[in-house]
Amino acid sequence: MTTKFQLETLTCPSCAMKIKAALGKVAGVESVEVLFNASKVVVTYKQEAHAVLALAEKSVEETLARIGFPVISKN
Amino acid sequence: MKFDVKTRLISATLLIILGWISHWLSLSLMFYVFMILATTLTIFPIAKTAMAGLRYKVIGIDTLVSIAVIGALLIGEVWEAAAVSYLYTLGHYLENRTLKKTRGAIASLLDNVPKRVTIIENGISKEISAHELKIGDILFVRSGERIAADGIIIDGSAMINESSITGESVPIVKNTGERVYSSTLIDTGVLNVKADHIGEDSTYGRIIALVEEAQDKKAKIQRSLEKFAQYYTPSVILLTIFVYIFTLDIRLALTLLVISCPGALVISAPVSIVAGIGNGAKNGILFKGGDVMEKLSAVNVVAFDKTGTLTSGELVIKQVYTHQIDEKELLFLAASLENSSEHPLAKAVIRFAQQHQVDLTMAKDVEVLPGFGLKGVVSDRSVIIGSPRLFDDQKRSLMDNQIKKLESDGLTVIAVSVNDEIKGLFGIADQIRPSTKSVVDKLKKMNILPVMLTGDHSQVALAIGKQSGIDIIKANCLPADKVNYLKELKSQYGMTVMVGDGINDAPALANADFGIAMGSYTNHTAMENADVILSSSKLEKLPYAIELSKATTRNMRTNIVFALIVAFSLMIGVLTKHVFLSVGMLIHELSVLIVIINAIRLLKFKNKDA
Repeated sequence: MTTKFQLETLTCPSCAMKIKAALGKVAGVESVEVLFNASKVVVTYKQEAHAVLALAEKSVEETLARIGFPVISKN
Repeated sequence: MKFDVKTRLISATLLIILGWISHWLSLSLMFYVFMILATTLTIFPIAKTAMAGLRYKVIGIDTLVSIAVIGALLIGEVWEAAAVSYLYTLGHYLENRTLKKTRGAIASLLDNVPKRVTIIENGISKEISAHELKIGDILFVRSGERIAADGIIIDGSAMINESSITGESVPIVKNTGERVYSSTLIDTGVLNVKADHIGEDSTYGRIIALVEEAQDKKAKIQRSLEKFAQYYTPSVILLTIFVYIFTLDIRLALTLLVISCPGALVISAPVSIVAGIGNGAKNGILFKGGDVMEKLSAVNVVAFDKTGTLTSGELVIKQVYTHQIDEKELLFLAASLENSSEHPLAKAVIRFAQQHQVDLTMAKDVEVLPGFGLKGVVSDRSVIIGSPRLFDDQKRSLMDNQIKKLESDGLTVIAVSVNDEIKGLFGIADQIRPSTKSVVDKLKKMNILPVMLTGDHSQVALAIGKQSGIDIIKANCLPADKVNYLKELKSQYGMTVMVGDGINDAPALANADFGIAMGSYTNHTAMENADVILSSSKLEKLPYAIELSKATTRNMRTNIVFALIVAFSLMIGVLTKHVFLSVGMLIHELSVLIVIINAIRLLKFKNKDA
């Protein structure tokens, strides 16, 4: 299962590394892909997180906000 | 207190000006106070995200800038501290705004999707958000509005501008029972449409998804750059530590930190790609990524499929053979019978009759026969039209020589019988597109070799080759032959692209390692298989697609070379102590902006002879 988070315009691609490293440490996150031009983050969740998806999404969102990338929308 | 970036920047600007005024007035305490305030104001958000990053053990440019600024404050360089954090904030603000511009062309595609829609439920119309739309909902759409989903008209008729899907901006009339597409604009009229494909499943949704995905598909060169950048920052940090240990020069060490993120380099390729892909999308060309543009810019051979690509796929009667009947009489009988059919062959016969000023009548008792044949009664005569195979051998044998002759000329033959006797033959052929010759000429001018691949007989292929100016022709190709021949071309001449209409050549296009489909965006298979899609079957967009790829690749390379030179010069400047904190930050931010502005030029790229 994956969620696409739309962020505000990403300006420095080195942000991508920061986002990847930070989200990689969030519980339940399997992999993270940062789409620089689209300013989106695609998060894939681990199998065990599927049951508590809303929770996992919430902690991803909080982490993103904390490192300076507030989420505009998700789908 | 909560400040947005703009307020922060304006306040910091004022504080810095006040600081310098105090300095000239020799109020050195005030100078310190103002500069420290300006620094605090701008560094605060940077340091905040840096701290958050540290919690995840991530060191970003914000961390390095924060260390440099705090370091500068500690050694009493308050102006340098203020300048570095001010320039970093200002730089980011401007980059944000300009980057939005490079992405604007793609973002504006979304403007064609209505945000709110009117649906009819139990006879009552109500407005809902487009997200709430479900399959089966009845949309109510008026003139000036865009349709929110793919669907079938269940009531009404309208002039519809379908340029967002087909690239063709002349409105067309659509009536009850016909299919309409999301994002198309109702010019005049009112429609009730039953939605059957919504959101990302609609034709337009697919286009957007494809472009969105394309803009982040990396060019080859980009991957190596990202590797480089990945090692560059830690290396410079290590260098900083060594420099400090060996020279104890804190100013030099702090400056090194400021220039350790090669921003312009990392951003150089993506900004060019997003602008190039955006330009293409605006002009009815979908590129599936930066890598595709890179490949197309280096193309040496363009292999065309014939039917539907070099030719329009529209059939035309080239030769008529009559047997004991007047030609006009034959046309009258054949075209009157075909008048009830929509088949391309029928259309060719009707057009030909019209060109010869033959008036048609209504045929009676019309019956469809296998193999695109028709049978019916015209003016009390029984008429059959269709492939010669429809007729028994005995009747056909009288015409065998003529049939063979027409076939050897590469024409498709259809026979007409009147009262059970074959009275005439039509030799029918495909027409080249009006733009084919000029497209082939343009390719030749660009030193690109045009080649034709076709499953047709060599006579047809040679004729089309001659008309379009293509000298290298491979006829009688099965789909597998096309794939093999493409491989041969590639090993002989280098980068080879296959151009087809996505219908006649779907397997070749799917198997070729690099393909362009020309066709409407409504052909989903072609859209999936091809690397580049030219909308509305416009072959004349091909040279533009190549030129745009070349311009984008050039733009990207210029950006990369520029960014490398800046990074290298900065390093030299810092190590030779010609560049200090604020100047280092200024050059860094300027170089990022220049790279973005250079990419914005691509949005304005136009074909010289378009």
